Amino acid sequence: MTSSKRASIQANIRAALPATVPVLTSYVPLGAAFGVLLASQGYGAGWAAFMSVAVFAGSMQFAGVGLLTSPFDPVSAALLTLMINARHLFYGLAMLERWRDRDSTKPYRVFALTDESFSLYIAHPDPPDGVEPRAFEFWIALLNQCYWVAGSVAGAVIGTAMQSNPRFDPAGIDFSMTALFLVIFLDQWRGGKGRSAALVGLGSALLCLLAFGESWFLIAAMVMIVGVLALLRPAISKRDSERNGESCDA
Amino acid sequence: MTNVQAAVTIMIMAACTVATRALPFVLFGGGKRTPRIVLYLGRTLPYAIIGMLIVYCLRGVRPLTWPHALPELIGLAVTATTYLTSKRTLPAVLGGTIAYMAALRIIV
Repeated sequence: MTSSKRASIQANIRAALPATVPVLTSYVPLGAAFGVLLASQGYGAGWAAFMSVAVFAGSMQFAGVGLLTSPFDPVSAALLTLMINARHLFYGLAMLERWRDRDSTKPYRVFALTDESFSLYIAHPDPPDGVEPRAFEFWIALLNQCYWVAGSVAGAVIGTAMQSNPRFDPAGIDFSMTALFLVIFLDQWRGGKGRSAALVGLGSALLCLLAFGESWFLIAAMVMIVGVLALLRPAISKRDSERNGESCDA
Repeated sequence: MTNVQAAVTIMIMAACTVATRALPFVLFGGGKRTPRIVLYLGRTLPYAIIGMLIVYCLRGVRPLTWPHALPELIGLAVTATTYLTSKRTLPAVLGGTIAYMAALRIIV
């Protein structure tokens, strides 16, 4: 590596690092919580690293622990991932204009477009002077993923160590997944947007659970949610636009 | 689930996650307009799916028999009150989980 190239990489990291501190403080503990949960199901640090490198999607990885402890079901795994991550479509659409480039870092930036990285891109539309914008975003994404991988591996190591202690009984630790989703739900609810959609999700899932039982309800619930949302589209779009004072379905 | 099945499940999650992130660039990179139904689902699904995931997490609960979902209710209540008073994710998740684990050992 030439010294000028190394100097420019160092300058990029120096610019990106301060911007990522808020993500550092949320990814490391949340990643650790994921790692502990994964280890409590018998999947150690190697699995945590594998998942956090290859998938890199917070709430999906928590739901993924549930998939790994259920019977093998690739169709449910695919559908659940697509639906939990459907919001990423929106981030991609929002970044379309800004990312018209064909830079070599683009595939990674798209791969690593998490909620947190996206929010940093929105918060920092312009990098500090002298830093190339796409390189700035690339390093933000890469640093964020490093925090996430480090947190989950540390959590898995701690979780595995706790398990080998005979006095440690992990029963109930998987409630952290439920608690996390409840917090996200409450956060969205307080925001005031999407309440009807939230109720559609809760209601469809409950109905399908009662109708089909716990092994089969998930796919039925996902189909029902898309169907009901499509049916209610005129009403929900209208309510959204009234609340926002503009049409966001345009 | 065998290790191979677990690895395949993780690779499916990885592929589908990339798909949701890359699809807009693949489909609409050339300046084409996005169908409204896609925008609408991208906006509403996150809310609906989180609701569904809460039910998914609690799918094994039997409210009609003892302990009548009491540990779950306690865990959810502690999570919610901690979050609504502190507005912070981590204390709420931690507090709710500890409350649930304690309730499980005391009540059951």
